[in-house]
Amino acid sequence: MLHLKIDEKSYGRKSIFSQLTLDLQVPGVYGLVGKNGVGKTTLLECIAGQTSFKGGMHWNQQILDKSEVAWCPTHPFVYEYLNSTEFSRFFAQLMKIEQIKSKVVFDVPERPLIKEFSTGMKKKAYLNALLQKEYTLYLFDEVFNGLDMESVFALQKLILSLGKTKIVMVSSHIIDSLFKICDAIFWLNDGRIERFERNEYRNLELKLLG
Amino acid sequence: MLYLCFKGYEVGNIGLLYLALLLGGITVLSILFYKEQKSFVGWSAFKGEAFLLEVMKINLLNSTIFFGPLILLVMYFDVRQLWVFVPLFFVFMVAVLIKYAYYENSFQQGVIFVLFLIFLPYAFPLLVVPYFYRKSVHTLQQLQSSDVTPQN
Repeated sequence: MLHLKIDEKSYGRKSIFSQLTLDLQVPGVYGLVGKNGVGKTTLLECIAGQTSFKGGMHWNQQILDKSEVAWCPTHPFVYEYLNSTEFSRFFAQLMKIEQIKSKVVFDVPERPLIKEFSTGMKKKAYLNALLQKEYTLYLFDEVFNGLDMESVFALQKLILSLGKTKIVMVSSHIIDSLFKICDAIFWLNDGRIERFERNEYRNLELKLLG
Repeated sequence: MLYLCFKGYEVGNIGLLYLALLLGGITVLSILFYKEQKSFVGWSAFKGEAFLLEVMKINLLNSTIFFGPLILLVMYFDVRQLWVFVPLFFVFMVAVLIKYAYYENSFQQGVIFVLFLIFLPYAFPLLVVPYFYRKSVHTLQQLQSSDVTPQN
C-alpha cells in the first residue's frame, strides 16, 4: 500500500533524514513517537506531500493525489473571520464535496467567529471541515493536543473506526493514547525509524525511558 | 467612495470619481493579493487552469458586488463614464495572474505589478498578459503536484 523512501531530507545544512524507508502494507492505526525535533512532523509532511524531499512516496505503486490525504497539522490553519459552518462550507467547495456528511464529528458553536475559539475548539472546527469526506490516507500530527477529554475519546473512537479500512498515522507525546489505539508504533530516533508491534510496546516503553 | 462620487458629480469635478475608484481599487487589490494557505491550493479539487479560472470568477463577482453601488451611481449620473470600470477590473484580473505566477515570491510579485501599472498607459504590458496566464497555470500545477519535487 504505502511506500515511502526518503533518500535525503534536510533543512538548510541540517540533515533530518537520510535513507529512511517506511512501508505500510495493511490498513490500521499507526503511531509515531520520538523526542522533540527528531522529525515526526517532517516525516508526516513528507507523506502528505507538504514538503519536498529527495526520494519518493507511492501508494500502490502510484503517486497519491494530495486531495486523497487527510492532513491535520499540530496547529491547523483556519480562516478566523469565518464561523465554523462557513469554514466547513469553504472546505466542501474547495474539495468539491457534493455529499456533505450530515453528522459532524465534534459539537462546535456555529455562530461565533473562529477567532473567538480556544486552541482546542479551532482544532475541532478544522477536523469537522476536514472529515467531511473519506480519504485514502489519514495523517494526524499531535492531534490530541488541546482537546478536552470528551473530544479525545470521540477522536480515538473515530480513528479506530477509520483504521479498520484505511491507513491512519498519528503522532503524539501521549504514549498511553497511542498504546490504546495503535496496531503498531514507529519510534523515530536519530534519523532512523523502528517498528514496534502491539506485543512489543513494553520494549518501546523501556527504550523511551532510556 | 459613494460620497466622493456623488460630490464629484454635484460640483462637476470628475477627479473625485477617479479618487473614489483609486481608494476602492487599493482596497480590492489588498484582498486580491492575500495568499491563501499553500496546502489549500494543493488540496483543491480544481486543478491548474480550472483553479485559476475559478479564483478569477469569484474575484470578478466579489469586485462587482463591492463596486456595485458605485456602478449604479455612475449609471445614474453619466452612463458614458462606465468605461472606467473596464480597465479597473482588467487590472484586478492581471493582479490575480501575477499573484499566482509569482506565488512563492511576494517581492517579485509587487515589483512586477508596479511595473505593469507604470507601463500600462503605453499598452505594451498587455502583450505579457498571456505569459502571466501561462506562468500562473504552471505555478499552480507545480503547487498541486503530488509528485515529490526534488529538494533544492
